[in-house]
Amino acid sequence: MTDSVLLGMIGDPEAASCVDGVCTVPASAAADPASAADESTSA
Amino acid sequence: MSESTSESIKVDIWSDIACPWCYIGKRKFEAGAAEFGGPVEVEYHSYELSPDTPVDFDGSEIDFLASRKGLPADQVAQMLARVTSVAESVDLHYDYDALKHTNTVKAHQVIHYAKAHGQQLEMKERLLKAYFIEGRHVGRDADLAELAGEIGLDPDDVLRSLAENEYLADVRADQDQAAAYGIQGVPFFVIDGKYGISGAQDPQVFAGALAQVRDERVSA
Repeated sequence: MTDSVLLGMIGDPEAASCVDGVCTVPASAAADPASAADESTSA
Repeated sequence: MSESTSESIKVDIWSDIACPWCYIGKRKFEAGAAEFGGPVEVEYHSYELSPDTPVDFDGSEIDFLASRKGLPADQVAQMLARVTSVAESVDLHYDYDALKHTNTVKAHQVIHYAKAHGQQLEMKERLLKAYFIEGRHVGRDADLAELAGEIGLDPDDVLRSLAENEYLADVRADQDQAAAYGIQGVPFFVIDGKYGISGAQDPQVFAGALAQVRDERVSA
């Protein structure tokens, strides 16, 4: 059995996550936001 | 309080072991659930960020990432330092110098094994800590059996299970469900089967989502 429908998304769509092995460091999550906007790495 | 409001809110979480934001997000979710205060039932689901990763890699995490992504090693080091700094903010002390990059499909099978034996949450936490903090290997059968034994599971039976790929189909089912939901990154949280939360959000986001679901149940 596979469900496929979510009613919606909650929260910041730019929150830190990892996609295809690439882990973003959004400005909002960085210890020094001014120097880390949307940089990414894989981990 | 109505009967429905006393029921736990189910939270399904897709994540990988080799995912720094998954461990950070786990801590933030736990803080949010504590802030919410009501009963919450958590179930973890498998998601492989890099299924082509070898079980063994002869080099540092920086070597692996630089070779895989073609980024300068010093740039990768700076990025890992930033992730490490954010982890510190939730009291997780990542050690990328000791980290052993590996394939995580076997670790996911062990998490399913632990779920079948009532210890999924303990196994998930043990594997994340082993990988990011302790520099333990989480890709080999023997290492995984040892880690499972540390939370009270039977290491010999874990070895048998891994040799038979007993829970590989469950790992694949989780991945199919992730695809059905359109999940493209982790951590990813599904609250009460209705709402998605992507990424390592602030605890207040999780607390608010849980409260929203509780309120919707009351008004239904």
